[in-house]
Order: sequence, then structure tokens, then C-alpha cells
Amino acid sequence: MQDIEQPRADAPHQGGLGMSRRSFLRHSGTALGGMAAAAAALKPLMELQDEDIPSVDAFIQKHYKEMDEAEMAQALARISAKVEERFGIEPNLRDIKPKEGVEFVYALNLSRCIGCRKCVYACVDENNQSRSPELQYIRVLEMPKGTLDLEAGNHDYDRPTVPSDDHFYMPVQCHQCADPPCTKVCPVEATWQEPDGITVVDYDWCIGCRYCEAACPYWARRFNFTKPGLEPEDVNPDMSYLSNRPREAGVMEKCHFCLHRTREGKLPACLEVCPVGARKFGNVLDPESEVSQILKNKRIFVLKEDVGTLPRFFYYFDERYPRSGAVEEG
Amino acid sequence: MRLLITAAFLALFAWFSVGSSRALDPSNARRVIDPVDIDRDAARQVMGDPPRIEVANFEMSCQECHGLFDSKERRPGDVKQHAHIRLEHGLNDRCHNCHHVEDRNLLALPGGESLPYGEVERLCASCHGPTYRDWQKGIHGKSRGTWETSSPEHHRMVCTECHDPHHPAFRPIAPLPPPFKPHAGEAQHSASHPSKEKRNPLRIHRGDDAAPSPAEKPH
Amino acid sequence: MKEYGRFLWRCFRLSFVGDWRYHIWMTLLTVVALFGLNAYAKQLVEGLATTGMTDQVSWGLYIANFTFLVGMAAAAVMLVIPVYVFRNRELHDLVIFGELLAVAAVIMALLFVVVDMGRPDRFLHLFRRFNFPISMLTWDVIVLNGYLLLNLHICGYLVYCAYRKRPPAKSFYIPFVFIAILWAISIHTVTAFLYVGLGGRPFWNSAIIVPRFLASAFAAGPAFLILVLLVIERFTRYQVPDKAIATLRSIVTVSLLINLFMLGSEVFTELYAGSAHAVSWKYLLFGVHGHSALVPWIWTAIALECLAAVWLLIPQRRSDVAMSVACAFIVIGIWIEKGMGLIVPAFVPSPLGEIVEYVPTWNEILICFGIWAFGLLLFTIFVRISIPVLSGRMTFDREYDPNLPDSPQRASLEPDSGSMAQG
Repeated sequence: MQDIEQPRADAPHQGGLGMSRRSFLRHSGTALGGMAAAAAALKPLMELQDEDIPSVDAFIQKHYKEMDEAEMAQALARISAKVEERFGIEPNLRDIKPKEGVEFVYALNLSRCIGCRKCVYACVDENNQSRSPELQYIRVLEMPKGTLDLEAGNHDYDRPTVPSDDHFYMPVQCHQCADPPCTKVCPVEATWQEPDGITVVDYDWCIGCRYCEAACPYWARRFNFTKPGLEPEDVNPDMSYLSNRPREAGVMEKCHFCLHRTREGKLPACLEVCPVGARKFGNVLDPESEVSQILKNKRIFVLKEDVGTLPRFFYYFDERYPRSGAVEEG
Repeated sequence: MRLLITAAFLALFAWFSVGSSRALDPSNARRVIDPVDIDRDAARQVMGDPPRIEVANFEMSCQECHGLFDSKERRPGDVKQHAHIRLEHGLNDRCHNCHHVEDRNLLALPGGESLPYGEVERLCASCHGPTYRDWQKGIHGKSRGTWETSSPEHHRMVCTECHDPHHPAFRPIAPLPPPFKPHAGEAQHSASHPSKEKRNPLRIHRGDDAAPSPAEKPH
Repeated sequence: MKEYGRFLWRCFRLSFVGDWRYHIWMTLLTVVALFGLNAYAKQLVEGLATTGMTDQVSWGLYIANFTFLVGMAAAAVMLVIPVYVFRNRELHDLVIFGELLAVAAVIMALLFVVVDMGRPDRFLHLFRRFNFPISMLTWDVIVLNGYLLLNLHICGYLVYCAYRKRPPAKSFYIPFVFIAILWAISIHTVTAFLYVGLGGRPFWNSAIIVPRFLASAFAAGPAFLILVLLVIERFTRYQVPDKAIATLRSIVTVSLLINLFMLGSEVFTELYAGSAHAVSWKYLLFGVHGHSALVPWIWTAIALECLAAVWLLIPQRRSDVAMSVACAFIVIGIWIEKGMGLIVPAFVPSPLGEIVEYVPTWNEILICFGIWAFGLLLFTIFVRISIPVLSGRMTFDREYDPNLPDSPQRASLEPDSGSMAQG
């Protein structure tokens, strides 16, 4: 095994590894070449825009549960400024705390759902989701009658009209499970369940490992694989910290029961747009609420009950009258 | 040897300097949904109480005209004036199944008792008892305003705000588009994706690509 | 301290010294690593959309490589067991190589996790709010970093002692060695628990995956080490004792057979009952609904492993070429089986029954190659330094001279003053 440089007898000074000054220069030439190549390799980083690089404030911001009011106000101000800068819209951004004595539950009447997907797009409209690439919290499955096997469901149905006589329709979104597998696995507690039952994500804390997405049995979680594509005309300025403020690349998000609406008493967007009244929402701790009545009187079931997640999203059938098959004018 | 290595590094330097800084196609494929399709305030126009219609730029209540002439014992289809109404409501085959014979500003319960339009749910309840029970509890139908049932803002939508009383079954409508489906594997889509290197698996279906019809789906 | 600094500087200088083949190898690795760095820079700017991952298949090549490398890191310490537990003195020298391989493998695994993260700038959040002990990922962070430190300490201490021509103090490394043996099992068990604990993914929610992980790791790791030793024997003065290769070969054979047996059990269990939970296995082995991207991969992996098992079972004299081929088969087969054959099928179909297949993009593949190149670079440097130091050719009082003739007694790594590891 030969070394590259043979130590020269007449070399003026030789270091420990038999190197002359000339060879040192040659070595550094190669080293410089290597370093130049490494620097050029990092050239794509020059494409990073200012708004994508986290500010110092964002970097040192605490976890949601540790922030006091002043720190939260500071965070809200920072986020509002960013929204204004990016979209030119002044948002109504606040941090809404859960109400006492409230546990939200969703019920969905599978006999009524016609699979129109208005809920999907109303949700997108309400929650400032990325339009490019497209990100939807709700996925509607067209199921053949006679089975609840999700594998038989068709996600891509595109008929001229719905409903189809041989199918029923099952929208799926985050079930805000009472024993959520997603919050168990998050290494930094960027997602947790709030007292009113909603499982939330702190978009400023998530590290984007996607373990929660792997853990969810209902495919309810979505990841921002790239910077969300949102235009000013898409923006809903009614925002809250834990729900629909604009997200960044590399963080998770999911249905949060429109908590910026529901914690103020309003109804979630998916329910409001449903043209057939298939969706029901309310406080299960109130025995007079609609959802309590459904849980008492209807034969409800949940998806994948055997996995033990205790979802707060209940499905039920209520078949009564045959559907009208033909499309009629007038 | 040293020269070779230095040359390799310099070539690399040149390659990176000149090369593209992006791996993704900048695509602006975005789906735009007509706001009309996701209008949350959509509801049927209900007749007021007393019911009023517009006739020749005049707004009048039904009885204002019907009080002037005899219009009993008519069947739907006989009547030229209300020709746009096609009755398809189960076993109902006559107008007077629901409308009061004497006073068109009122509805009629089975047994003859009259009912103002503002209490139309009682008429529906007279045949659809179980549905009415469910509606009272909030199980059937839709609510507006708030989920808090004890709040004054909680508004239960009345039957006719969703159902056309002459044709209560909802008509089929066109669904909104299916989600963009990420595809893997170039072979299926080489025709529509000429740039192989910059394929972005998340946005294969651009606006101009038609979604595959259900017939093509493996299911 | 100053002496240690000088030691590090000399190690740095030494890593640039070698013959033309060494330089070509290192340059090649550097070039590939730089390509990986460039690809990663693009990924940092544009996000993980530069990979082939989607919401349906949200873990792919990065986590596949991570899983494989954690196994390699665990198995590299396998050599420690016969040496320290069974007092097999001939294999002492190999402990160092095993542990150095473990260090390089753990660094590679950690790098794969970093490139998989959506927000690597937020990794400090792990220190500020750590969901231990509930989240298995937190366990994994602890055990992997602990393992890295453990092995760095053991190797670093033994090498530095050889450099200083001091016999290493037993209390400074023997306890750590035994801890490392246990810890090696734990890193791979914890990594397996990451997947096994998810009730929503029936493909993973099976207890046999944990021992399967260990068996496949203990087949692939020593196989890789055999390849490394054969390379070292070819390109350096170090003579690998036959006993070492033989011991490693036995470990590989037994582990491979156990791995194949467990694979067979899983396949039988899932496919015989034919329940809906078996869809992912059907997708992997036969394809489902016309989607069959992984089928050629898994059958290639199974074929490679079976061929290697058959060859290893045939008793024969050590034949370097055939041995290398068998070991390469095992490494590649288990890489496929553990990577594409374990990670990806769990996501197909999605929990809602949707089938979206996964194909990595070129950017993603470049990053993977880049990390592997970097890891091999590190490992080569480690070996480049440790052989001369341990054989006494570079110590604190002697300059490194590559031309020093090799004396017969110097065939092993035992330094001048006594054996480097005292029983």
C-alpha cells in the first residue's frame, strides 16, 4: 500500500505524515474544490423565501399549553401579521378556550347522505386548506349496499347524479376519539385532546414526523407535503389558533369540528351545508341535545369499534322511504 | 490522482451551480368550486302565513283570488294555473288532501280541521308520525344557528324549508368532484406527464385531465 | 486534553492517507454524498412533496432505510457476545469493527429520521416537550442516541488507549460493553414497537414482527460485517482470523433460518384464515385489484434469502467470492424485506380501503444514496484510523509511516504492550 506522496529527501520541512509544502498546497487545492462543490450543492437553499424561514419569535415560542395570555397574544399578533403580509387580509384571529360542561359529538344519518360532497368543499372553504395541492379533511365513500367493509368503498365516484340506488354514502373525517391513538404516539405532544373532546394540533409545535398519520385507523390526518397553496380569495378571515389559521409546509392538520365556530356556539361548516340534514352535532353532556336524542333512540354504530378508539362520531341508519330515482325537471 | 479528484470536485461544483434548484414542477392546478354549490344558507322558499304569491306584479294571498270563484274538486293536472305543480306525494292524489276546501289560505288536517300555513308541521305529522317525533327531538331534519338546543338562536328548520310538499323526495343532484388521486408508477400516465423527472405524485390530475370514469376503476 | 486534541488532528490527517484505490473510493463516496446533500437542499425548500410519499403512504424509503439500519446497528454488536460472554479471545479485534459499524449505522439511521421530518428546524421541541413514556418514538430517540454514545465511548476509549499505549482500565469499558449488548437488543425492539403498537394497521399489529426484526437484523448485520472484513483483509494489512468469519457465518445462518421460518409463519397465519386483515399481505405477495408494484420485490427478496440460506447450510471451506455473494444476497434480501416489504405494505390499502401505491422519486433516492455514502465514508474513516492505531503503527510517540514493514507478530491488532482487551 503506497502513500501518494513519497517523502522527498531534500524537502525543507516535513510534517508528521511526510508532507511537503508543495503537496500541502496541492492538498488544499483539492480541499477547496471539495468545499466549493459542497457549497454549490447547497445552492437550492437560496430559493427559501423569508416567510418560510421561522422568525426568532416563532422559534422560541412555547407549547400551547405552556403559553400564558401575554405570550399567546404575542403569538396571535405574529401570526396575524404574517397572514396580512401574505394575503393582504386582516384576520380575526383568536384563541378560543373550550366551554365548560361541553363534550362535542357528531352523528351522521347514513340513510340520508346522498354523497353530494358539499360537506367536503364547504370544509375546505371554511378552514383555509391548501387548494394546490388539494387537501380535504372529509372523504366520502360510496359503499355498495349490504356491506360495511371499507375496502369495498369507492372514493372516486363521479356519477352524473347522486345518490345511486345500489349504494349508500359514508363521509369519514376525524372522529375525535375518546381514546385517540394519534395523541399517544406524538413524540412532542403537538397533538392532544382538549376537554371538550376535540383533538387539536398546535401547528407551531408539530415536527412533521407523521407518526400520528400512521397511527390513525380512520385516515383522518393530513400532512402538508409542501407549502399550502392558498390564494387571497380562498382565505376565511375568521380564524383561531388551534383550528383554521393558515398552516405551513411540514405540519399535520385534520378536522377539528370547526372549533372556531363550535366553541362559540355555531355549527360546523359541513353540517350547515348538508342539503339533506344528514349531519347532527352537539353536546352529548346535555341530555336534551339532538345528539343525545340520537344516541338514545337510534341504533348507532362506530367504525372499527374493535380497535378500541372510542370515536365520538356515530353513524346510524334510518331507512324509511324509497328514494326518488329519476331526475326531473321543474 | 490528485488532479483527477480536484477535477471531479470542480465538475460537481459546476453541475450544482448550473443545475435546477427545484425538484417539483411549479403547478398551479387548483380546483375552483362555485360558491353556489356550497351555499350554507340554501333553503326552500316557504310560503308565508298567510301564503302569498305574485300574480301579474301584484302580491296577493291565495284566498284573495280563490274566494272569487269555485275551484273545488279539481285534480292536479286539470288545473292550468298551477300547471307547474306535479303532485308526487305518496298516496296523495288530490289537492284537497292537504289544502282547505273553503279557504285557500289554510291547510286541512285529516278530519277537516283547518290549519294555518305557519303550523304546517302538524299537517305533515298527521301522516308522518314517527318522522315528526324524530323532528321534534332534532333527530330528523336540520337545525340552524347553534347546536345549543336551549338557546333562542336554535332554529329547527320546518318541513317545507327542505321538502317540496308536492314532491317531498329529494331529487338527485350532481355530486361535486372527487378528490385528486395521487398515482404512483409512470406507465399509467406517461401520456399526460411528459416530464418524468419532475413528476409530482400529489397532483397528477391537472385541471384539464378528466377523472377516470367509474367503469375504468378496478373496483 | 491537549494530547487528545492532537490525537484527533492526527486521525483527521490520517483519513486522507491511502493508496489510489482508497482515494477513488472516498472521492466516489463524497460525490454521491454531495448529490444527496443537493437533493436534500431541494427537499428543504419545497417540502416532502419532492418525495413519492402521500397522505395514503406517508412513510416510505426513508423510514425503510432507517428500520434496516437500526437492525444493522444492533447486530453489529452481536460480535460482542461471543467475545465477552464466551471469552473468545481471537475475536477481540473484531469487537472494534463491529462497534464502529454500529456507530456508522446509528448515525445513518438518525440522518434518515432527520430527512424524513417535515420540520427538522423544530427538532429542539423534542427537548422542550417530550412525550415520554407514552410515545414509542421518544423511547426510540433515547435508545438510539444512548446506543451511539455507548459505542462511541467504547470504541473511542479502546482506540485512544491503544494510541496512548496504555492498557485500558476494565471498569471503564467492560460494564459498558455488557450494557451495549442489552442495549442493542433494546434499540431494535423499541423500533419494532413503533410499528407493532398501532392497532389501526393490522399488517403491523402482530407480535411476531418484534422477533422477526431481531432475526433479520442478526442475519443482515453480521453478513454485512463479513463483507466488510473481507474488504479489510483485501485492502489492508490486517489478517482476519478464520474463526471470526466462521463465527459470523454461524450467526448469520441461524438467524437467517429463524427469519425465514418466522416469515413463513406470518404468511401462513394471514393467508390461511383469509380475513380482511390479510389484505396488505396479499398486496405484497400477489398484488390486489390490479396493483402489484411490490410483488417482484418481495419475491426477489425471498429468493435471495433462500438461496443464501441453502448455500450457507452446505458445509464447505471458506471461499471468499461465494461467501461474499451469499452475504450480499442476504443484505439485499433483508433490506428489501424489511424496507419495502415491511413499511410500505402497511399503508396499502389505506385505513379507509383506498389503494395508492408508492414509488420513490429520484430526489428521494438521491438523498438515500447520499446518506449511505456518508455513512460508508464515516465507517471507512473509522477503519482507516483504528487499524493503524490498534496495531501500534500510530501511537502518541510514533509517527504514522505506511511503509513500515509488517512483522509477523503484528498480524493482529494487538498493540506492542500487551493485549488491548484484558479478558
